[in-house]
Amino acid sequence: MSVLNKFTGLLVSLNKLALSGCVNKHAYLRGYAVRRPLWSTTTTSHLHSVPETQKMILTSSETTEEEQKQSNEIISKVNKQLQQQSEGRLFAVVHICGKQFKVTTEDLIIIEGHWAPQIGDELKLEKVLLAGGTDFTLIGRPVLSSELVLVHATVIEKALSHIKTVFKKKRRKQFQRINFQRTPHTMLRINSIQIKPEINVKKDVEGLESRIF
Amino acid sequence: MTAYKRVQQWNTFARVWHLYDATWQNPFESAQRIMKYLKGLHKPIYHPLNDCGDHVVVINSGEIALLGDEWRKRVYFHHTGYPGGATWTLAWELHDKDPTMIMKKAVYNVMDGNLQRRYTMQRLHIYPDDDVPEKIKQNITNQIRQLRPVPKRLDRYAPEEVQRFPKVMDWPKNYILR
Amino acid sequence: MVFTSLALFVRNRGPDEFWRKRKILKLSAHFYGRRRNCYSIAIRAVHRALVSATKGRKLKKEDMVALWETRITAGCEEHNMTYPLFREGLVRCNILLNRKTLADLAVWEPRTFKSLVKVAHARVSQDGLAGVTELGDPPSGIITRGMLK
Repeated sequence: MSVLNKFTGLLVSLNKLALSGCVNKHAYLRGYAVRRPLWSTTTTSHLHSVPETQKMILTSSETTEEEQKQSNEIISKVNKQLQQQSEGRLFAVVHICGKQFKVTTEDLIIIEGHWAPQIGDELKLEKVLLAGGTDFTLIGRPVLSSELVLVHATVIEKALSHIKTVFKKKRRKQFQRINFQRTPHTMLRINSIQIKPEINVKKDVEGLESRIF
Repeated sequence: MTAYKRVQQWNTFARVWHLYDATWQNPFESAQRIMKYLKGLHKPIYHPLNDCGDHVVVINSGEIALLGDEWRKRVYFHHTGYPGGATWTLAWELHDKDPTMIMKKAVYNVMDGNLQRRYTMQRLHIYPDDDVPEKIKQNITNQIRQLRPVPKRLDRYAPEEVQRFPKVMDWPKNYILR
Repeated sequence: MVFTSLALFVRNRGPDEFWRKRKILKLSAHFYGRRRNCYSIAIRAVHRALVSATKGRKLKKEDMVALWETRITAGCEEHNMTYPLFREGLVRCNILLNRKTLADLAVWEPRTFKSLVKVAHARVSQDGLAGVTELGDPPSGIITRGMLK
């Protein structure tokens, strides 16, 4: 079973007005053809022509007692497993340089393009979209807190790709171009993925752990 | 590969035999669903080169239902290759000759026309009625849900149930129904 | 340059003709028939091959995206949900996993995928979108090894 991390939770409002009246049948299909930045704050409004009154609003969650109890149970089970360190092998979906990778420990990934880190640099990958193990998964909306999930990686190799020949030709027009391209590659080894226990603890002030005073 | 991994691979890529009852179903709509199972599009491990298609056994293909006028108007064209060898066969005539042909042609025409088509069609088994060979019956493990709900025929109900059903009105005893 | 006869003088085109041709013939070494050995025929084949390789690099990305979408659709259908609704539900919940990751999860992490489907379904039925059906268990014939209960 999965547990929605309430850290980044924009808590869902249970606004019960049905949208089916105002959204035409194919409106929802349009949404993901649109290119938009990953971290755009305007999530739903201009994609699906949802009127202002029915956008997602921050209200206190109106979950029932039973649902609250269920989710507390699940969270305590997960916390227990984390405290006893019996979670086993963890996997995470990490976002680097615009691409998402599904990684575990001892994994090798290749990042294409110019990237600053040099060989031997030990990195902490901050943008973790999803993390989980055999018994539970934490889904970030959109990202899990960097204080909760720690993904450590080391840069192993920085090399160029194989030679890609870009050849363009227009027949009978004496137009012919040949270019040879090699893109820089960085190879990372994922050293460890750790989830700190006490998930679902909302601190008063976030983001302090990574600050260096 | 370790023995465990080998068994896991067999488990994942095992070919499953599905059953589909074509009684009173539209063969062309059913063909879309059957094609999905034959190609393996219902599996998340799908790839065209993966050979992940399943077997489908279609029964009661003699009881299929075509829309509207199609029994009288739909024609199937066949040319033997020799001069004057063109034949236009109506759907009901074809059905009389061979009750499985309409279903088979429906599935064949709904697939993409690549070289895989003939091999995939070999995994489709159509029977005009319930009579399926024992060996094939032993393989079947899943049933595909029918697309159109099949109502129960009035003559299949027990006569007591028909009697018990509340009547709003009834014809007078000496009224002759035309 | 010294040519011992007139014939040789006429036929010589330049000192590095051999290496110019070798560059092309190296690329055509695995072609069929005269296209691998005879320069004038090989050069046409090599040009066509390089142009297809250039175009193919773009098409490969498009093909991969289509494959991911097929796989995610298959994974959703196992739970009686459609791909457009699934995507819509995830986007509305601000879960921004791309198609590559979703396809990987559908193949390798079926329970995680099931929970994503449940989240999307809950959101979509709450928002009241058209075409929402009840989530169901996968059909009995599918081998799930107990992972989709």
